[in-house]
Amino acid sequence: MWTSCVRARMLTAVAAVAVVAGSAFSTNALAVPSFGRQTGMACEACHTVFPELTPFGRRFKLNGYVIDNMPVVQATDEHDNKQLTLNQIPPLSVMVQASYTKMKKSIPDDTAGLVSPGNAQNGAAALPQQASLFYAGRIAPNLGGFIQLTYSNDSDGVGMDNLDLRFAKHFNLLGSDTTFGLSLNNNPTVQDVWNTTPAWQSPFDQQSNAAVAPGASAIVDGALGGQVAGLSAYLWWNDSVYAELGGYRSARAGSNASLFPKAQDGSTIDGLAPYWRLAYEHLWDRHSLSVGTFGMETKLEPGGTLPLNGVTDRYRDVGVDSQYQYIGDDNIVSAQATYINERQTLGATFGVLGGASNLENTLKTWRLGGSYFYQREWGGSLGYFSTKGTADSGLYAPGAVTGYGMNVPDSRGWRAELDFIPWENTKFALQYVVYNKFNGTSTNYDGSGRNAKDNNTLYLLGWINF
Amino acid sequence: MKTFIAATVGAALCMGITASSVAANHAEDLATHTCSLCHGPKGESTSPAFPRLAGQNAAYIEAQLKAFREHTRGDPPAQAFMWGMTALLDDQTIHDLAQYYAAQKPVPGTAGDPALMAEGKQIFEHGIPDKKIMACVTCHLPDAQGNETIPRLAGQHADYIVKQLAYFKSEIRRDNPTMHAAIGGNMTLDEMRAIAAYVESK
Repeated sequence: MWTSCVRARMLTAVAAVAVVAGSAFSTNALAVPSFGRQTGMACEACHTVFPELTPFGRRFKLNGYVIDNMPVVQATDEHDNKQLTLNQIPPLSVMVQASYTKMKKSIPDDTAGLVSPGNAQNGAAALPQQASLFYAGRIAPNLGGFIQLTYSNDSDGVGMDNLDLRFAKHFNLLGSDTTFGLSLNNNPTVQDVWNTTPAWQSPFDQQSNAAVAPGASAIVDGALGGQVAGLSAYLWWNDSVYAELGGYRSARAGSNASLFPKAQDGSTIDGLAPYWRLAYEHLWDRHSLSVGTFGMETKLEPGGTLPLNGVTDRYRDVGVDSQYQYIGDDNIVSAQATYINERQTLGATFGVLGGASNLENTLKTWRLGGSYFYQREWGGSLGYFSTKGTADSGLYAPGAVTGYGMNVPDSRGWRAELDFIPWENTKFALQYVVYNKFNGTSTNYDGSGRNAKDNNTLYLLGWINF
Repeated sequence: MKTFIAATVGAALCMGITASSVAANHAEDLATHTCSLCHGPKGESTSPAFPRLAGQNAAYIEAQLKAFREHTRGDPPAQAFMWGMTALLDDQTIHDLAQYYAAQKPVPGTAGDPALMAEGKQIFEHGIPDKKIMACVTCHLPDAQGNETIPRLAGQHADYIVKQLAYFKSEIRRDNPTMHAAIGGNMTLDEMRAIAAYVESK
């Protein structure tokens, strides 16, 4: 997430750098030994294989990360109300990722904006790709946090990564136990507990940040990560029904104490962007099945030469998702499906800036994936991804490597991964991405002679959390 | 003065009652908001990875929670889940948790494969003398309801029972040497499955 997620169709020049220097996808990391330190429970309690959550892991998060089995400093008032519950040992942890990325065909030498003359090189090693420090766990009696600071190699800096502060309390509603919760977070869906929503998508939560990736993605699909503040309220009823409503907001460009400096990159939310989520989960035997829907309506101010509070681009995102898990003693199977439909009304980019050729566009994203693990030690995943959208010569302009020769945002392909987890907190992944279509077509997609399969990517990841 | 003493004693008694009910409420709160995440709302877990606790004998639950806390029961799930969950439980809370679950209504038995259940019934009631495997009924009683520190098996997840028998056989579970002696080293996986199917149906 800390890696850049600037939208290609908004500022092609910026995106051209971002797509290579960063990833168009989020690269999150959830597994945190902090929680293990606080609860005294092993990773397997909350994760099938990290970062995918088990049913218990989902409930731990919904309860505000507060289950605590280690010594605390505490204070109570005369009515036995808890005034303070502080971990004696702070639940800190560290994550380090090292990776190697090799594309089928290197980016051509002297590609404008991407590679300087004589600098083309394939086979990128990253040590670290990301390194993070977490505080994750209970903060106060009903309040917990997941706070991640990350150094990432593509930004060569340390910044605020995932942030999710949660308050949760139980009450009885219609005869069933109900959790009421609040989440203050910095990325739409980072607060979600199913691994079908963008922030914690599974499988393939980790992807290379050194390869060229498709340019078009929906706003709710990671574009706002780390650039916004959101507050949402949720109910978890009868251990099966989840409903959430919230809103996201940017810091205003020019504010004298901007917490979100990246908000001026061209994705400043006008007012409040409402976010909603509904899901149903059924558990039986060792199985769980969830179906849900989520969405967000975002008005973005393009910034640049346009004044804020002026005309905006509107993005209406609606997602549908489903997850199945079987968690046996030896065998773990899971499958995820996500569909996101985005309707864009580009009042600013089309109407004023002339950066789009249509006022209204659509973008449809599919992700299907499944994984199998044996004894949480060996496993693999296979997934299909597809993005289709309206042709737009303004948003999707030709350009070497990251451009769209046919003015179409369509991309699709397959992703496969083999995993070895020697210890519960360590994962080695070998991933391969095959593009059948990239930024519009399979051959000469960029208008400069590059084919989709040239971007096929081999990615080797070592990931340790301690 | 007498009034003062009476008032003081009365207040102390009230405080005692209050403290006791607060402790019981604490245990119920734990059971319904924390333990329930795996063991189900009232100890009626849906996943066989987690045993059903509803109606389990209080003395058995108490002994197990203490065994987790003292690390004398150390099968893999015990280490991964319960060592942490019991780390800070005091004896009073353990007692209250045990009372809470013992007071819940047990999950009714679920019938499995008839042939398997019949074989299980045979072993449960008569053991396998040739293999020196004792009849389960000796300790767990005719309806598999157990007694005191002998656990109730009736209605328990069959998968969970099989796993525990395997742990006793391989001595991964060493908290109850009697069990290892009772089943010896000869009980097969099929025999374990038969016993489990039978007791789950009770």
